[in-house]
Amino acid sequence: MYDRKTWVILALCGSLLAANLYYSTKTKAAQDAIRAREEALQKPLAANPETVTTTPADLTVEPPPPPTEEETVVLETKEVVFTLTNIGGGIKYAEFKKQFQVGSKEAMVQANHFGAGPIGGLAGAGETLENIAYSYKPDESVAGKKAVFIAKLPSGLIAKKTFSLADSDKPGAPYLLDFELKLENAAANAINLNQWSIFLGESSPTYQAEVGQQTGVFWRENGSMNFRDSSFKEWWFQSSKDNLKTESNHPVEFAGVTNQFFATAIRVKEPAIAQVWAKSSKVSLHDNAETIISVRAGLQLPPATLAPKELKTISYLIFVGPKDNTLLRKMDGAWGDGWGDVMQYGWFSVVSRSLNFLLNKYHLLLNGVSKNWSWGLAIILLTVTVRIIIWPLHAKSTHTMKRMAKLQPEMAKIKEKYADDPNKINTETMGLYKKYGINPLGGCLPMFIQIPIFFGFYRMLQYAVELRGQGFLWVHDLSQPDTLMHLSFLNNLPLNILPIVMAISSFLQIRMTPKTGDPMQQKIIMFMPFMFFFFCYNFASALALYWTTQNIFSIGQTWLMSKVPEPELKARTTSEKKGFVQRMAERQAEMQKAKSQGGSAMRDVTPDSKKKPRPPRTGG
Amino acid sequence: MISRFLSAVIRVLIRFYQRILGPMMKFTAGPAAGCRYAPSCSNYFLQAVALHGPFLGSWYGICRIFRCHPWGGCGYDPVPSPGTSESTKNSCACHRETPHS
Repeated sequence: MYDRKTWVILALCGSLLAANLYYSTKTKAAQDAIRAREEALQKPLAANPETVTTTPADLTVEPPPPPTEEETVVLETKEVVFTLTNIGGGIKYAEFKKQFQVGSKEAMVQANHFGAGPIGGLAGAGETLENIAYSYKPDESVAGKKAVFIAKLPSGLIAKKTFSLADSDKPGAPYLLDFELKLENAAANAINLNQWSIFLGESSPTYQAEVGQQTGVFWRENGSMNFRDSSFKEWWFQSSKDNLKTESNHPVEFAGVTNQFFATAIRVKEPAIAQVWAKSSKVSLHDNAETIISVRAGLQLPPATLAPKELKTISYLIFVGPKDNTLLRKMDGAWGDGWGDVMQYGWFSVVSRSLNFLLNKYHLLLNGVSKNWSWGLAIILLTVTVRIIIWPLHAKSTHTMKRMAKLQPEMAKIKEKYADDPNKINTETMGLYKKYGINPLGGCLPMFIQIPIFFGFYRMLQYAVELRGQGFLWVHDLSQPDTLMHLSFLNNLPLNILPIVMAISSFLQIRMTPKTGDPMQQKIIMFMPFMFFFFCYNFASALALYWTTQNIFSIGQTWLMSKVPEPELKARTTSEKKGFVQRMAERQAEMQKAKSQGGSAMRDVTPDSKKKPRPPRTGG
Repeated sequence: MISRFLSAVIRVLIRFYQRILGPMMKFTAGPAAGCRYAPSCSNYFLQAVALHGPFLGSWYGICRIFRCHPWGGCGYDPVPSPGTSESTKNSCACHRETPHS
């Protein structure tokens, strides 16, 4: 009754309608949120008399005069050393005990190294940090566990900050600090808190060659993660900016700054609608080094108005740690949701996540084999696993390609005959394939399916903090290029071995695979190894290792396929092809025969029947 | 107007794919990649968009890509002309028979 086209149009109309409905409800929800926010802003002013009498005024005691010199306090867990400062009241920097700077075995990686202020500090108007001297309160602090700072801010607010170690066995606890911010209005007039923001720290590349796209700011609102790199572009066609301010209508659950391997995040225990700001600046890692881009960010305080003498407590959780997929996944649930999304796996995160999971499992497995090389071996094993999974796809296509190669003489004839009509050549070629029952290649879909695997693998290796400082063969650090030496006669060009091996192996692989397709495309494909060689020369050696393994595997596979007896080429006849039912019936008969001959015979028959050469795969 | 613009955008994207992305993908995905049909999927997509406009044309093109896999059909498979409705099926009989075990 309805043809296919009608159904398509109906489906399209239906989805458009659904999209429209969804969009309108979404905008309505957003408008409601804005209204609710405006109402919330006005409410506290109306409720003034009540709040004054009910709030305990425990901060009204005039804080002691701030010290003139900087005082630092150290809180230490088994993974991180947090150094807190009274200037601005927060974490001056955090050092990771097990993560060392590139090329060093002693200098620890520092988070907030270039910080304009401490993590947890307050920024006022214009997103400038108010680095006011706080007083450390030794009587309320616990040495090595808890640090308390107090100060009276110029605005008339009294701020008391308590940083304490997350005393817990839950995963991720060593990277966490509980942060409680108590604010009391000691001024005569009401003060709105959302003119201030909490400083999230500053993140910058940890080594000179780290790509700027990996440094950036992230925040999670309404259950979805947002990430902007240091150019603060939402879409690639937009122009770069040096600052960013969100216009969010949803409560922000957490926000932070990140680079390739490390992140700082501050989670609000009671999420409120707040804006996130970020700024980029240029820093240099060493004297004379070229500048690189560093990103700092802040999270606005909740939109509450404090009446005189009113007190407000805001609780935060500060995470400063490596972007380790296993760790972050375990933290999900234990410390609120969404930690796993801190990994910037992008579109193919499902693939990356599962590959990372497997990589870690293989590493545990291979630790018994070789402790020093286990990560490198795990990458090789994972690559081989992936290739074995897609083996059937390749085996099939190699098989067909060889049969196609045998048809070359006839193909040449067709090309000669219809030299002026490319369409006719195509149809005739296809007819030829049909005649000999050749199903050309794998198809376009397998190619598209392999893209997520390739990019997922790539992303996973690029962001795998597990590989930092791990050696393999001559490689010092799998997260860095495997520079063996610098060639002084070539302008100090680094000599990287793996990319060279990679280029050679991929060139060999292409040479080995039978040639099909048009010559122009063949030329472009032959050119690819060289292009990728220059493109990937300074890539992490883990990526080069992955690619090299893949090429060697392909070469081995092609070689193995060449050992398989040459497929015979027969013109297809209809009788050759047995129907499914017919084959089943034959099998049944064989089984019956085997049974009648006794158990031992059956064991012989089963593998035998498998070995039996299959009828030529007509079109398969 | 809009459909014309969209058609142009799709055309540019497919041309870009044919010139640059395709060879790169074939390089990374290995020898398993390549079209089984005539005209090839990308050309089919172009023709479909030219014949049926950006929406229905893209639908035909996407359907075609989903048919282009090792267990799918092969051979000459032209874009259905606007007049015929029951035509997205390919004319090739390669795989009409039973599936392989």
